[in-house]
Amino acid sequence: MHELSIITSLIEQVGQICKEQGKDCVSKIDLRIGFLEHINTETFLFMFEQIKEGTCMEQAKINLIIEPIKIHCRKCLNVYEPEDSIWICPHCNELGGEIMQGTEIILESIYFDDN
Amino acid sequence: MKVDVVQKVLKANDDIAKLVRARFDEYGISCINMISAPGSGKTTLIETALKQGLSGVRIGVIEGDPETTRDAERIAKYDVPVVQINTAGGCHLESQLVLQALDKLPLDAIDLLIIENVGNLVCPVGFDLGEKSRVAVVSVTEGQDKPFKYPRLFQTANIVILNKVDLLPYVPFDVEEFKQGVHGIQPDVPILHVSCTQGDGVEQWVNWLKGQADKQTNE
Repeated sequence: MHELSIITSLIEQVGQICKEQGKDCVSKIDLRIGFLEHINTETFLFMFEQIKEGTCMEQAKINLIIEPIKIHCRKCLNVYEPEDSIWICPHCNELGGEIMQGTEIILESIYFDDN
Repeated sequence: MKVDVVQKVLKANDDIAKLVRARFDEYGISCINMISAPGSGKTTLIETALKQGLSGVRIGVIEGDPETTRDAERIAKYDVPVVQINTAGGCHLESQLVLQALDKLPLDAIDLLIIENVGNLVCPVGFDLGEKSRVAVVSVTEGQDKPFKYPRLFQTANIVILNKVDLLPYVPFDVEEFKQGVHGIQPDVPILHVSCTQGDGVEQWVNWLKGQADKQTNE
């Protein structure tokens, strides 16, 4: 259910940018979601449909880009995408590592109709 | 027309968490955020620490639950400042709720503020509350697969408490597999075995809490 807080925050942020750009509404956004954020995309889009009415995103399409986890191995410095939830470097078998990608939700771009 | 933004979506929560952190710095408060599934023993861990006493470290507690003031009532018996946040069904605490709760706490009389988050292994994890450290609690009745299923919590935890270890003889919990799961995500995070009813690990738990408060004082 954290999807709802994220959508509310997203609509507020997009609204702020609309103001800065002197626009009333957006036509599309690109949204990058890290796999580790545990966002259920169906729930996310369903909730968005429920609360978008009357906001600057009422007509907006959301282009969701799910980013896989990328781990930086501390031992051999290899960067890999773990195949399951035990993070073992396929190169040297070291456990764990630093997360390079997969833990953020980023509003990447906003599109406005030109007319 | 396309506008490149590249902005974190939970920026609003993060910005308020910065304000919360600034308040903590102003008062020399160290804050920990306890996250677990419902019923894993977070409140009992806090009570156990309060019973044991933290020799001079003054505790404050924020309790987060969807409904009722039951947890705050349990904590209030130990004569420490406590605020109950009811999220009215909300599945996690956000920094705005913590910021509001701070107004109800005597900040100049607190060294260590313990926030007990809403019981949930997913939603609380992405929301910074201004804490210094994060505690993940798992009880042995929940099964050893939790780190595999909920990696983000174990990746962000500063300490993992394996709770209710007195029940290990009665439940099929594979401690080695659990450790492998946790360390497969974060190799160096300490895992503390605790039983609040039998006393195992209580001293280490209390010492860890004291260490959190000391750290703040020394910085």
